[in-house]
Amino acid sequence: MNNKELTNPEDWIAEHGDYLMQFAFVRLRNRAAAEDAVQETFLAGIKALDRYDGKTPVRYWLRGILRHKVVDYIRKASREIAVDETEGKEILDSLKFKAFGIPTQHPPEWKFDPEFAYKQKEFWEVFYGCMSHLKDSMGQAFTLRELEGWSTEEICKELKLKPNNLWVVLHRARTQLKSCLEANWITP
Amino acid sequence: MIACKQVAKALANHRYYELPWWRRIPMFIHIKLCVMCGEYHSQVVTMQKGMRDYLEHEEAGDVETHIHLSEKAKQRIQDAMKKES
Repeated sequence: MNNKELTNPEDWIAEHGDYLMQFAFVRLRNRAAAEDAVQETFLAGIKALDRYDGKTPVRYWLRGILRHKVVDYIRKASREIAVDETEGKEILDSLKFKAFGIPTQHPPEWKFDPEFAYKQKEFWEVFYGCMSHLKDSMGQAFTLRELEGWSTEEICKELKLKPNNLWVVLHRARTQLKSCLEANWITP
Repeated sequence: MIACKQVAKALANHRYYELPWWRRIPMFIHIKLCVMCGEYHSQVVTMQKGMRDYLEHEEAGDVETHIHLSEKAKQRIQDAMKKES
């Protein structure tokens, strides 16, 4: 029997509900929106069950549907991200680029060893928590870039962002994520 | 030779391997010669590796979180699914 013959929509909530909820929540950072996306996914799954070929496990098939729902939600929810034109300059200044654009200070080091942390199972719970707490304005761009693999052009078009400002938003998000990880991860 | 500011902007904005070759080569040379940009580059790459590793763990379904569908949401979804099927 293939995956299609084995799957029963009545079991989807119990078998895949939490997995899909976690997938949606880290991308949307909003419980109500994530629950709605999961519901829409299951309903779309029932409608499309005839077209499911059963070659991939049903969990990944449903996740593919959910991915589209998440992106639709981000599209609808996106408002113009405010980027102060002077902020880019401030970031460059914080990296201590002085005269002639030559940096004079090393970027702040990680407060823990990330390579070691990446090998610890518990680290990913902290990472998930920090990703879920990114502020919406930067979280949307960061999600589309790092979790969904979108190009600069696609992100700027969907989020109505100037290409020259995307780097500021992504830099903000990385800095916030790094600070959160440093504050919450305790090396065992 | 490109300036450090240009390198910082490009690293923040793009994945290094996505850049066209005519931008990658001067960037590569700059990163190898400039200690500060080399360190900044290394931090961005480390963060990107973290994202990739996270996606692998997510794929495997072994990220433990406290996020679950609430009982109320489960009931609501179940009712909607019954109507649909």
